Amino acid sequence: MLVDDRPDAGATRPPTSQTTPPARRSPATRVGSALGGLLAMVPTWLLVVVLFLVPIVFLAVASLATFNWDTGKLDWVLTFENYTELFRSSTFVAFKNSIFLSVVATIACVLIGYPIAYAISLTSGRAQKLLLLAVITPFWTAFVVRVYAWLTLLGPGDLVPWMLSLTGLTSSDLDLTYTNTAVLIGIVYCYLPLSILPVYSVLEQIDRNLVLAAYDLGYSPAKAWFKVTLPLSLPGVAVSALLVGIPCLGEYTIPAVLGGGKTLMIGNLVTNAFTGTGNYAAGAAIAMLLLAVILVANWGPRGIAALVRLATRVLTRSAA
Amino acid sequence: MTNHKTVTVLAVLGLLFLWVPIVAIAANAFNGDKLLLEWGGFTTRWLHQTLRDAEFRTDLRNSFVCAVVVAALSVAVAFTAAVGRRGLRSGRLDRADDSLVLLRMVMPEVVVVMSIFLITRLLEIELGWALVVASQVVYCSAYAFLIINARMSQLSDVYENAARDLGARPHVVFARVTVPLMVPSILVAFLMTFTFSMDDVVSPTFLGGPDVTTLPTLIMGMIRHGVTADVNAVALLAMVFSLVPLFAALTLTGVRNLGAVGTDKRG
Amino acid sequence: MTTSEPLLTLEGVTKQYASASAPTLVDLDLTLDRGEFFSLIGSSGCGKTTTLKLVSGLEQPTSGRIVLDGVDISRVPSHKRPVHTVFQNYALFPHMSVADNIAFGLKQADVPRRSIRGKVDEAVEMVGLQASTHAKPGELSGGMQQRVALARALVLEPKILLLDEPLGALDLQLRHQMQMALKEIQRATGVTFLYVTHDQEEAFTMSDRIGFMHAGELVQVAPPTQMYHQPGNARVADFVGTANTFPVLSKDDATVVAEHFKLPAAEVAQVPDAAGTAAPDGWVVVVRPESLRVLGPASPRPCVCLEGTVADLSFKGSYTSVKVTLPSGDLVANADLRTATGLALGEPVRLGFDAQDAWVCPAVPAA
Repeated sequence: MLVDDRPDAGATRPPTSQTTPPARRSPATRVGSALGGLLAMVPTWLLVVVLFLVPIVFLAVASLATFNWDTGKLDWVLTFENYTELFRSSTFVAFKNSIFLSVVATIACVLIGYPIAYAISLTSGRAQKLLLLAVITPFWTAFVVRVYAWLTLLGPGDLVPWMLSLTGLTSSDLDLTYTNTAVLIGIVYCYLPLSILPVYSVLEQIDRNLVLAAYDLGYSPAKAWFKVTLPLSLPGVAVSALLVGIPCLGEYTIPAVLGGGKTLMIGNLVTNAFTGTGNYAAGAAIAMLLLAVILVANWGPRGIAALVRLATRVLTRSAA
Repeated sequence: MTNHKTVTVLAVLGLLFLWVPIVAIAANAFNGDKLLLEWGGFTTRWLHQTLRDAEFRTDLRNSFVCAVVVAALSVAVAFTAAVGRRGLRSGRLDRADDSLVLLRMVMPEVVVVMSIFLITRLLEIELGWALVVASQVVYCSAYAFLIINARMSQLSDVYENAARDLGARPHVVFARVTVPLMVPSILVAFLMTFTFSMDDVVSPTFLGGPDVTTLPTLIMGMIRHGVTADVNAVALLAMVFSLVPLFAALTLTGVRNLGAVGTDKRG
Repeated sequence: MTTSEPLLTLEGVTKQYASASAPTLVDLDLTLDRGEFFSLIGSSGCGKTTTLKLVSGLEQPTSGRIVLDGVDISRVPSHKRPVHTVFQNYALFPHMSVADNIAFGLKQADVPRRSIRGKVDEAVEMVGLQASTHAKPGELSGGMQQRVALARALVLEPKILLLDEPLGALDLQLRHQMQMALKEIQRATGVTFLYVTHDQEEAFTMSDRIGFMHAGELVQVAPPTQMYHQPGNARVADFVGTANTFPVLSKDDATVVAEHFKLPAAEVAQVPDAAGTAAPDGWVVVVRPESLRVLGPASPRPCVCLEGTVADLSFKGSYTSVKVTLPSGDLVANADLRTATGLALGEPVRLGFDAQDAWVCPAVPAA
């Protein structure tokens, strides 16, 4: 490539006043491509503003408005009642339930997914392709069907209760449909492929020689795995935890099918408020809280890490 | 090595967990006992019945057309954005745009759909297909962008420079070199967003109004009436149709690449 | 071969990247003659590739002019310049066959369809790839890809062919073969070649003239033999081969004084305008290893005689490279096989050279 002595490509221009502006391409094409570039961004930005940002601003505004039960419309009177209402029992229970289910499902996905990812990374060639296919295929299979499948496996006398009864603790007539357990199984099932793939791709990139070096230095395979492979694969685990945990929080379909209206998650509360009672203000407030939870879950850890870094920097500087 | 034995056992159990429900659906679609209480002998009655069913056919067609439109729009928007970004090469804009992409992906679909729903109620806009498509494009275009832009940013200047050096005018460079090199990622993005749209329950349910029915909403409706063999037949067919784009995508890009799609951005 | 008729002139060309603090090229003046094989050498980051990009039009100079065949092309976009490039990693379009790659530029040039085929066939034949016309670049070996890249650029009959480290990715044997092939093709077509490489041997093998660049400046332009025997400064001397350098303590019209010896100024070759040349870092005497003789007891006494101990002996085939440690530093001498058999590690050895084999040029600041 023609890059050996070109300085960093993505860097910005300093505000110097030279006679000829430093140009990456010829001035005409550069201006043209910058203008064209901006124009090409217009559809996305239009889409994002009209269908994404504006609706969410509306949502935020509506969550502070008052719902008029007589007219069935919103009165634009500022109130925080919709938010205080959130701590009412049923809503709050659903919240706790959502977070609980997400956390448990994330842990379960990582625990079930890691060995699969590791096993795939140990194979090669055709076998590896087949195993990957075995993971990817369920992921691309119609989502509702995958959720629905568990309805046929969790009822009294179905596969799962029967298997549990083999332990002797429960009867095979146990009905797990429309329970928290059913929702949890559904979530773990649907998100499992998403938790396998990132771990696999990180494991695959680990230099096999590192593990061999550990053997050579006297480590048993188990110890070598624990000291070398596991630490190196943790970034993949982190990605898979995010990929499972965050979408889980806002899940609608799985609890709608497997929870049967009994086990609710935040997603179902939002739609219920909008379409059931028609109380948009309440629905908007729940949606805003869900939004907040998602943003904290996604950027929270990084934000905290950044704060810690900042704090240490300030502290070390003041000490010096 | 006992270590690998443990891993193998755990992995086999995990893979069984992934496949048992799918096999169960397929098996029960041929179950002679309509209520699925026991194995009632092999029959293709439910499949025949489903395939002849007008509602099923309409909904399948609806889902398919909607998914094609959504995928086409998403890919078009995402591709132009990726091209634009390549032209701009502005670090700050990129970062702003990146967070908008990420935000669209992490935002629960329920929130996106209900916020649009709220606007339709406040502004008295009628529900319908247009809104279903629009709301799906919001997040599908983000995924499409991720796939296409990943390829676009890997695409070295080298080929475009060579084309210019050989005398190609800018639009020729774009049409003959840039676009052809991007085609695989465009197709994969298309197939992925197609699948997302085909799978979607929330948008058609809440933004479609009474006239919009799709395969997922059909299944959701049937489930409410209980678990029967004909639901399984619909489910099996839906499953089969959903695998067509997967295998199309697989022929375009290797299993390994497809496995990596969309999983490398967050985090 | 060279008619000394200027084809390309760079006049005071400066290139400052916005993101870099120092300019990549500083006030570069360079003239290429029609039909010559010109190489730019220098270590990575010296500005040679940038120079190439400026000529090809993929970059624009911050100031200065580039004149090709009497026409100022400084602001002409790349795709309108009659100059084409063989890129470092070939940049063959992966989605097109060999024939389509070669035809790519012809199609842009609105060459009639029928003559495109003829020209492509001719080009394919020139580089000997008749059997692979329909293959995709990914199916070819590195050497074959290299030849496709060459054909693709040459088929457009460029006024200048730019080559950016075109052999960098090939193994040694293939490199030597391709060097010969390039030289032959250049002679046969008569196209002016501007060749960029960091490998001085490659440049020596093929070029009519060589330009040595350092830190964005053209340090010396000379034919290969002159650059080797009369390097413009110590850095050039070091880059284009092994050089034994002795710092000059003082120098006047009569003598050149180094730490261990004095040389009569009249016999020593010096940078032509030695009197007027600026040498802020002083001067050095340069002696190539092949001019540094290992002296036996009966050898005629040369002008300069040095004593040290043998630190290392490396067998190089036709000669043996002898590393000799002196109190002031290490020297390298080439000994023929017979002389070398009399040497042993750690043993004392005498080295000598004649004043006319020494060359005095400006020193450079230590890196």
